[in-house]
Amino acid sequence: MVSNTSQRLARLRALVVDDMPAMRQNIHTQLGQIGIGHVDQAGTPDEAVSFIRRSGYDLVLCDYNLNRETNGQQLLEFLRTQGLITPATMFIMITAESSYDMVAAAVEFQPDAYMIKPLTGGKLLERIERLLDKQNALRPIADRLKLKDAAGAVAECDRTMAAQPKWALDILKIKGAALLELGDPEQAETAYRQALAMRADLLWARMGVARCHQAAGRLAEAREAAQQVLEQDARHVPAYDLLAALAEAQGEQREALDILSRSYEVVPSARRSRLVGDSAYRAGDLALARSAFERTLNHTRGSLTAQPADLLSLAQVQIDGGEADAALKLLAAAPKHYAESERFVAARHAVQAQAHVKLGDRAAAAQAFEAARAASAELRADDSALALAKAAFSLGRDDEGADILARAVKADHENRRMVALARKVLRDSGKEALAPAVVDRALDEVTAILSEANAQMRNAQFDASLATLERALAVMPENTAVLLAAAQLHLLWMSQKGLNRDYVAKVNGYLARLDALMPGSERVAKMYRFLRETLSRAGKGQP
Amino acid sequence: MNNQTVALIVHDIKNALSVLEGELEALSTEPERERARLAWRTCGALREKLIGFLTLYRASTSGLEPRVEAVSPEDFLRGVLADNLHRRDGVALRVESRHAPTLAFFDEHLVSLALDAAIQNAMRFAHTAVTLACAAGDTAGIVFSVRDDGPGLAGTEQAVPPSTGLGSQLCHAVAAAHRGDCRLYDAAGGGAVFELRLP
Repeated sequence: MVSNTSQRLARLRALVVDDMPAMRQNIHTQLGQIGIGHVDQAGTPDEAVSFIRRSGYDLVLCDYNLNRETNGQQLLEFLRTQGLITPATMFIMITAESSYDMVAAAVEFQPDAYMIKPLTGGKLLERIERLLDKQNALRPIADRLKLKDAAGAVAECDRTMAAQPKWALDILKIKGAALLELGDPEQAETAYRQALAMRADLLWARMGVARCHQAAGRLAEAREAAQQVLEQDARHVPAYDLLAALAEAQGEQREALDILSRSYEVVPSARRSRLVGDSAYRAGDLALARSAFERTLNHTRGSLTAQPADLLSLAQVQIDGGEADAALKLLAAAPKHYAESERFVAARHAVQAQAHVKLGDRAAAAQAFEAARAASAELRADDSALALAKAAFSLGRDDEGADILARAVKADHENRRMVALARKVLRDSGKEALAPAVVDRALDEVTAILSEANAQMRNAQFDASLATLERALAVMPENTAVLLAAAQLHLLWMSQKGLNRDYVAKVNGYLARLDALMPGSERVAKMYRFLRETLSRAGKGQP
Repeated sequence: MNNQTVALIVHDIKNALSVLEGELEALSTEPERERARLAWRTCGALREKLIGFLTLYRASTSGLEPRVEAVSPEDFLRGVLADNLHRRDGVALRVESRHAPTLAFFDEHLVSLALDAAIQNAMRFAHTAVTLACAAGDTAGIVFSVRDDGPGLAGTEQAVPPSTGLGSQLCHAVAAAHRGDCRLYDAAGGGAVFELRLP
């Protein structure tokens, strides 16, 4: 056992992130003394990110106080949201004695452990050993999850829980989430209630129950449960998000906005304020949208967590609010490296074109519009397509605007936010009358293609159905419904006629795209399961 | 935290610093591994005192807010033992976790501060052993205990040197933050027991 642990420690790759060289060196020495094989040091968040991009780490020890622009929590959020560290990376947040409860109280992204300064070799060793122990115990579950095999993960949860009762709560948490992903809210609720029987005030388990209500369509109960979580702890951010989503699903845009604004007061992060800005813009509250996006930019100024889209959002809000001058100034002051992104360049031209129209400079507007069109080689269902459509309408090029908007809707017709924003573009441009011809027709067209493909599939006209979907994908390569249908059709074909390597590659391609477009989706997980079953049947020599 | 307590604690810290100073001075003239180890321990104990002081200060100003998590008490006690600085020659420090529940809910950092203080106190009176144990509470929760085989409470009256009360105040603050309680009493078979009960 002892030699086992020391062998594992010797194989670990660790990164220490601290702005104070003496502290960094101190931890470095201690990690060396407890036998960790490889230790790198980073003095700034940017340095940490470049180290992490270059090579993966098993362990990141990060001080909470890094520099004025970015703290340890923001760095963790950035690493997790950008997928730079995997769930297998152990992230330990180091805080000062005086600030630890404040730091840990309200956060969206939990580190694997908090440790309080000063660190000693003994404490570090004990904590790392415990994290390794947990990782070891939960490995069979993690392996299933890595393969997107939620059903397999649930089975592993039951096995592991019997063998390793001390990790029962961690296991129940994973089990509940996996069951929800599998579309089984009843069983998921049982798992969460099992956790609550061990401790009635577990916030994540109470939130789990709320999500089960939501998944089962019991929206009033879901709201009530989330509300009760906030009564227990008003800083629990996931409860706000669920309440906002529930309000929005019931058409209460204003209520959703109020809830998100409250969540920003709890966790005043760039991410929170971005959510407020987006919700306010959709609800038509330009003043609030403006202040929220300004705050987002203030939060991330000079930091690696800055996102070009925030600048564009604020500029769009300024133009809509009659401040075209300010919008142009803002865009002109964008950091130079933003221009490396084609999507940013295209969207910036589109927003600039609208500003020029407002300022009466039609020549500059037309020029910017052409530049935007040239830069948007592939039209996607995103804010930049909406800005381009808006620019077209403001230049009086209604046909072009309608065409862009229709294509954006078709690109991802099940994306409700996108469809709602497309309608808003028409409303804002005074073209509401075009909605049936543009938005509704686009929705109908995609639906028609999908039902045609489905009908062909039901009539066993596989090749015809494939051709229909291929045609659809050529014009809407990111439409999630079409991608799902295409994946399903190829899998059905193989379940009838046997394995086809080209089709397996195609299905993997669709699923990878879907993963990026709708992470954590239950429908995508189902398709992965179907793929695995197909492959395993083929492996056993069955058709 | 009243002024008298603060003065006592600062005085105590000053004394510990003087001890460290002496140890380091001896080391500077005659470097020796055992002396270095002693100075290192004194330094650690001093750090622990300062953390205790700061925690108590926080408890009396903004209040302590425990970060309650699910923890395996057995793992936790092993960690407390591994990191403990208060060793005395001839006195063993043992962990007794036979009756420990699989999981319990408490703030590890705060509880380890309280237990370290209790261990330090027990070490002052123990003849041969200090036993750190835990068990499930009567109805719910968990009970940690630190037991010594010294003279018991009556015998501690004449003990030297007298303590500042920092440890005892810290334990009360940690118990209160968890809505639990703590007490010190004579053990049935001799010696004294410190008990920390958390819901």
